[in-house]
Amino acid sequence: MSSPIASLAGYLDRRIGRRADPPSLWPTGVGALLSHVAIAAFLVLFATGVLLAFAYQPTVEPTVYEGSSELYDGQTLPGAFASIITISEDMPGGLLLRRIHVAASHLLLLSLVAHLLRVLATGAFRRPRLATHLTGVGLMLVAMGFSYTGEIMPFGLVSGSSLRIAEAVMYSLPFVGEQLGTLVFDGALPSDRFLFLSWFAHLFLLPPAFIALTAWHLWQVHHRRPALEPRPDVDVAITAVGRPLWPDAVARFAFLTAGLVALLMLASILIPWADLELEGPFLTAEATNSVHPPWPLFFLTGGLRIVPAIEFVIFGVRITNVLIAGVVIPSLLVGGLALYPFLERWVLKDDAEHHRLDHPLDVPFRAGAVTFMTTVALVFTFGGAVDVLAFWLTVPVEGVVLTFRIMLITLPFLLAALAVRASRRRLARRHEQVPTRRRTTEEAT
Amino acid sequence: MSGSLPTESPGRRPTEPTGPSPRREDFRPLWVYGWLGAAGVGLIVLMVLWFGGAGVEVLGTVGLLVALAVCVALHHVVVTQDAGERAFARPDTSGFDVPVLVKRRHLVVGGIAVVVGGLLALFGLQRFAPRPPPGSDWSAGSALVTIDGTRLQPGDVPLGGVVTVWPEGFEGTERAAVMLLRLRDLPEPPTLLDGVVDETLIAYSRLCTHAGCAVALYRDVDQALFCPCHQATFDARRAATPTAGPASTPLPQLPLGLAPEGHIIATGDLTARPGPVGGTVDV
Repeated sequence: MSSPIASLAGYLDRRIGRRADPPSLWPTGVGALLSHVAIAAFLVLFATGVLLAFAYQPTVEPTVYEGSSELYDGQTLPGAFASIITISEDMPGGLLLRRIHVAASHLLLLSLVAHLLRVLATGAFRRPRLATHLTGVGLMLVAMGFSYTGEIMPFGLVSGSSLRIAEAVMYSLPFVGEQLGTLVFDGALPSDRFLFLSWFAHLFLLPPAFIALTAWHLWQVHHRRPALEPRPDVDVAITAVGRPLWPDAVARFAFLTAGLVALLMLASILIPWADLELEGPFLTAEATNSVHPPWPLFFLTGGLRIVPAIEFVIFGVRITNVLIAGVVIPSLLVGGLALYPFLERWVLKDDAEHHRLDHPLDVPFRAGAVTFMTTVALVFTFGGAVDVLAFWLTVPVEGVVLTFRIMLITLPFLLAALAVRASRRRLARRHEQVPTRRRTTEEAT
Repeated sequence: MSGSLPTESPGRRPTEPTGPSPRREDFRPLWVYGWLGAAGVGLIVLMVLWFGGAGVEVLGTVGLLVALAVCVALHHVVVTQDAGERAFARPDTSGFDVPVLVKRRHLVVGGIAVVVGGLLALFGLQRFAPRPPPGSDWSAGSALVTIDGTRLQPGDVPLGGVVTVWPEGFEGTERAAVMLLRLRDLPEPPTLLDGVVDETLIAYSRLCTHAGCAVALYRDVDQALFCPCHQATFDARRAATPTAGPASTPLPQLPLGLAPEGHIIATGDLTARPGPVGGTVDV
């Protein structure tokens, strides 16, 4: 009797909607906004990426470009770069697709960073959500992989340098680094191997990984019920509050996605994201003044820039700047993100379940630790721009590098101490206030 | 109402409780279908323009309008049809996130297997995987040529000039790229002074010993080579020893000489392998 649409709506209502058992509860608010933005950005990236994938050629073989770009018509270019110019200049709507793809990638990374920071600051990672946090860190790593491979793929002017830097990081591993680097990068350019590997990862390894991890992440959020901010009407420690996924959360998500698409369209009209024509292809004889990775990887290049030149040998192992800044520090940072919940659990002797989100200053140890990690990451990130800062401030780059070295060993400790102090004062104020509050309540009654 | 509720964290605005939207009766289907229909028409226009080869600004503007129309329609749905929040008792989650219980015997056997497997893999990689070649494509007698294959005479490089050169027959190969410089002052030790021609013509590998980028910038003020990737700086007068930045090893020098015909040639290979130094010490 019922129409297919009505029966589908009924089915959704029974599985993920108002009649679902266990009940489907999805919160609204800042946390929900950030995660919805990330998912919407990924959907946009997926849709534009599928269309772009058909026109892209993962090869460095020199090909003669013929088309409507006046700058490159009749020139011999690396195949990948020539296909990018074809997409931008000759494919209908190609430039719009490329700009939206790049703008959405910024949005994805930004929302993931903000989401991660919020989870760390509010203590949302505690039992029973440790596994949810670990899949989240995994998603962050996959997104960085997207960033790096996506930067290599157009084979623009800085791609060759990016590729060489990744190779140097592999070379810096003791005993097996050079062999590993040779296997992955296949010696000198022109070699298709790394471009092919990047393309394969960007199209066929990372998207399934991202989708699977997101699905697992969301399933865990659903299964554990979301952690919530404290509110006056219910005790969120024993009660979960939210809207059903179908139709309420889906309607909100659809509205948000439409808004983000509008925003990305506007950004693509106004800002020439991803216009590589003026940058040019990577050619061994060419060079450039300023080489930068995509911003999510600034902390890596910042480390390579501000860690001093060191070289000492123990047991046949040469410890260099590249090993410290390219392997040790990133491992510590990512390891710190993943393992912080376990550290806090051990330090605070708190292994209980928590469903109520804290204010960022509620726990002094966490306030200090999160400030410390954030500051280290920020100093390294801005350290990736020492040359630009030196140019803007018209001072020698050596002075800027020295300033960053000093900031690296002082700022994290200083700001962490300030955060701990602010947190302690806040707690003390609260202890003073609680009796006052009770008194006023009694007087009122 | 003056006695406020004692909340857990004073000073922060608590989330307000919500109920069903009071505007549920205001739902106007025609408004929603109208905007969705407009978006559909816009989508058809967008497709026509798309395959007609319109520019990015036109397509972006039409796409923006379509997305905004969808936004208006969905906003009305979200605002009027909100059924409000529901509250349920939290389920027992104490069984979650407890580490899987394993027997100590399994842990020991698994640990040994991982260590042995890892060591075997590392040994195989170290023993059988290819390594980068020890030298470069330079050899005694190879002529220095530019990217288009032109041989160079000492007079072709002006004061403060820099030319990227390759061995003849290997133009454009990445690892053999070399910078030929005309210094303003005479080079000093520890430079390989026998490898300098015409008093101030000197050549260094173009690959940075730090992370392998092209050290493509020459600063004439202090006669320094500068890497755009991580700001490693090398003193071109003194064997390209690092003076600032993250590099710790000098750039390899290419010993130069003059052929009887007058063009510049190499008198040997680079003084070290070009590129980043790596984490393994060569025995």
